[in-house]
Amino acid sequence: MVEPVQYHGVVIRRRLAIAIPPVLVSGALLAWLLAVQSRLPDQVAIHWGADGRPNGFTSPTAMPWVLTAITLAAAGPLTILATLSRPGFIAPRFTQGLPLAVTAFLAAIAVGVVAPQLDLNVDPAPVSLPWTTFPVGLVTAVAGGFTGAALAGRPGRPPVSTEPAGPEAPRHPIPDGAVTVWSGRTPLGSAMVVGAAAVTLVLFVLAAATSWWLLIVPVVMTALIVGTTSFTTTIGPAGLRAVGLFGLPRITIPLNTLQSVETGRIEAWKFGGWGLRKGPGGTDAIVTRSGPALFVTRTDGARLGITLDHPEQPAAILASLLDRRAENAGRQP
Amino acid sequence: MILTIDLQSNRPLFIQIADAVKQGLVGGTIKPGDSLPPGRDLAAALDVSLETTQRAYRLLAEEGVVTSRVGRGTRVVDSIDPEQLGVDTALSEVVAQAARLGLSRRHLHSLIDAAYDKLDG
Repeated sequence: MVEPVQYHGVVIRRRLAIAIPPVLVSGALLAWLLAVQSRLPDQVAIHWGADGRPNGFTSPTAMPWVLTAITLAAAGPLTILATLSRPGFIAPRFTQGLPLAVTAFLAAIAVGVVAPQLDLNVDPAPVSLPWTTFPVGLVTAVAGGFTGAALAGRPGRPPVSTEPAGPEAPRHPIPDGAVTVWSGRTPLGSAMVVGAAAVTLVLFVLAAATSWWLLIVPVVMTALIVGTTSFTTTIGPAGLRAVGLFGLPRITIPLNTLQSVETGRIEAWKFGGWGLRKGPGGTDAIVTRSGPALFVTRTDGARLGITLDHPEQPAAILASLLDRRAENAGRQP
Repeated sequence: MILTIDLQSNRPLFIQIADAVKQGLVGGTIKPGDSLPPGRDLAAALDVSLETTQRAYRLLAEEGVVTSRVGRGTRVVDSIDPEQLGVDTALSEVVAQAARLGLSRRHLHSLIDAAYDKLDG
């Protein structure tokens, strides 16, 4: 059983593990750039045009600070957001790894930009950006992301609870000696379908007019949209589980970590659109349309909303399951 | 879709799950054409093995109650008649109980005839 104090300690360690690595990588980048400063030409290329020729320059003195500032400007807000983010359900490990992924990517790009210009004695240096710069940057980003997620570790296990549901919550009778399971699918919002179809159509037209291989983009986007806007939610003695159409994404909330359940309403615009969303008050949500929704709160304060037609039924079943949990623990609902 | 499974029965769990689906159809909490949750989701919700829920769905498919297709999941057959299913289910229970009591098939037939006579009379 995880005590609240233990859980709090895990949260602190996780936040430090998210925040420190990007700072260290940025510091290492700055240190290297300062160390090689004297080996650079008087005009250091830091931007290239579509023709492959450099069209943006800076001095060796300013270069370390410019490139480090770009890295911090991009990765800094992400790091702060990830560090301070409240417990949630949506890709917690991805969120943890993203700051280091972005920092590593930009640091690799900075190194890839500067390294070819070392010990060149021509101003401005007719240097081309090596074609390997971005692939190496992407690989470094992926490695950085996995490393960042591993360093932060698994999100702490929420404390367990044996409390019954609140007295105001409706119940669904569960016969003695029986278990009840509820299953339902998120409703298909017409606005979401029209919007997604329009975006996909535009992407197809653009891709077809540009390069045939770009057609992979709208295909992948369509798959992502369909996969993240159609969820099957199942509720039973083990807890709540919401699974996307292709088996992913998957959100599982064990019953012993559920604090409360209620019904309410989700306005899609407050969550910034459809799909898996982070919304007001740190609530995560599966949004497929504006309308009735089931809301559950975990023992660590994380809150999840799921758009459902008639959420009263699953809410009542969950409330009864919480009562059953309390009875099994010897507590009176 | 709501499934209520009676765990007090001595029958294997996969049969209890299949019975719960049929009772749901008879009771109206499950409708013809409804999709059943994926086997792994139902197993996770019940905290049982995947094999248990898969056996239950296979049993229902053999009885013509559901169809299962890879990529499309398990759905209740559109053409199923819940009332007929209710009669079939009740009859199965009567036959099982008669067998447990040692009643012969002929004796059971005579009991059914008597019940019809009472209805007509």
